[in-house]
Amino acid sequence: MGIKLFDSELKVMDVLWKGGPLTAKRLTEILKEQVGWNKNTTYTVIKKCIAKGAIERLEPNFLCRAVISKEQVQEQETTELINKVFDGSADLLFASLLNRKPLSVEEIERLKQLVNNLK
Amino acid sequence: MDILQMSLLGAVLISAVVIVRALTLHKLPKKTFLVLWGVVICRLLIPFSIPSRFSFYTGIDMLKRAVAETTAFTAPVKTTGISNMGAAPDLEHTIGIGASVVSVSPVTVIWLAGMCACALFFIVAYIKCRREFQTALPVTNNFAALWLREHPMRRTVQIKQSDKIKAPLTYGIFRPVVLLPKTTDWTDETRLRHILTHEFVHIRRFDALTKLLLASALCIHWFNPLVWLMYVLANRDLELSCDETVVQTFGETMKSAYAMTLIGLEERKNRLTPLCNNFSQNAIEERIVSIMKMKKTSVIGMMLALALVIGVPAVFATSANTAGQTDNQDPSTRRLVLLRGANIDTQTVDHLITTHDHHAMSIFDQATGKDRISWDEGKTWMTVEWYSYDEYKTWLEQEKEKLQAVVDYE
Repeated sequence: MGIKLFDSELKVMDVLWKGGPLTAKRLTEILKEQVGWNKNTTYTVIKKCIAKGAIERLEPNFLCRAVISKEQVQEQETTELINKVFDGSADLLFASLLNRKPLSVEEIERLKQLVNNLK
Repeated sequence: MDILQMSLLGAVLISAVVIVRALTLHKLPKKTFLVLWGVVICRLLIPFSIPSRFSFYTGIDMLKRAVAETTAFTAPVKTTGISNMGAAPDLEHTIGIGASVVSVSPVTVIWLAGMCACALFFIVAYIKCRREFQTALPVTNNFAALWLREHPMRRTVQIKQSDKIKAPLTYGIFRPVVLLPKTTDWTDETRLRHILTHEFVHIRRFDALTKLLLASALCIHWFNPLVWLMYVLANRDLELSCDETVVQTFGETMKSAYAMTLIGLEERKNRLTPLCNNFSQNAIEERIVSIMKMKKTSVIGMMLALALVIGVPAVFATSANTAGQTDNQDPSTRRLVLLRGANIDTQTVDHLITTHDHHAMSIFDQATGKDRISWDEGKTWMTVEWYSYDEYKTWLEQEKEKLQAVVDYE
């Protein structure tokens, strides 16, 4: 599956990931406050998300539920990044991340654990 | 149809401006051309009281005028008393005398249809873009906030970012929004300053409104290729003039840096977004050359610019103006249009008599061997009978008796 979400759509998803299923009305209120969208704009984006299969519309009250999880989106974006920029090899991405800045001791420890877990 | 005449006059003026522009583009301040385009826009739009892209109402107005004309002209027919009234045979079934049916020529219909199509294109494109732009997210960047504080405006301006656009742009007239691509390098402050200065010049000058005017002129004169040329060139000149102001703001020393910013933006170009001020929309080469050739205008340059701004309209718009004054009652144009509608060869019109507010046309009808005259520009025709003095006197006596008889009978 490959749902490509734009920033505006991700913003809506983010609210749903954090707050659980919300009514469209509540979403418009939250987004009005957070990013200053008017009602129509929020509805436009919600509809786009529904069309892309990222949000499910439930009744009553136009209840919106996230169909895809944040992890799914993260994984998908990472895969795309690897394919696009790192010639499809995850280790190049990994190397790039390691080169970027010195990692803290905790980070190194966590990564080691991650590797051990995957063994 | 006076729109045709307006378009023609406009075309002459546009040709003049295009030639002047080609000759002096890199030598004169770019505002010169904006003023000249302004004159062109006035020429193209002024007879319409509402220069708007919703020009559907203009069409309705024309219909109303047509109705008013068909009814208003029935009066003088009765008072002339020259002879018995009768419509020319071939006219009678197309345009009834008293029926006052509104007949819109096919040309008008095509024009209106084209205008609606054009306006619809712009409106739909604009709404689509706008809807997309409104989903932009606020910029979480100190530089933008600082910039807004340093450059206050009467209207509230917002700076937002979007991952759907590739180059910076501005939209909105009353509450303008500067939209920056998500890929903007927020650490490159020189570049950001260039971009924001450019967009703010657009906002300060209400360029969005100017673009709206240009688009409405295009919608009304869609059939005129020179108006299309004007639309393209005037849009470019808006950018050129904006660039000029930016260079003046930062000083000439930075013009190559500014040119580099433009080239950098050109690498990732936007798709067509009408009615929005694009940072890198058109004719990038012309812009770069124009920026690099920019220097302080000499006194001679200024004087030439002034001479052109006064001269071009004076020469091309005055000739237009005299013709413009007769827009309403110019017999020659009216005659052509109406006679074409009435299936009479133009050349058969022998005389054109103009009284203070009507014109009469006369033709010689070869079928009956009689003169025919029309007081309402060919809608209805009366046969002219020529009397000698004595014949007229006799006729008058008869009429008197007839009238007397009517009165007596009552």
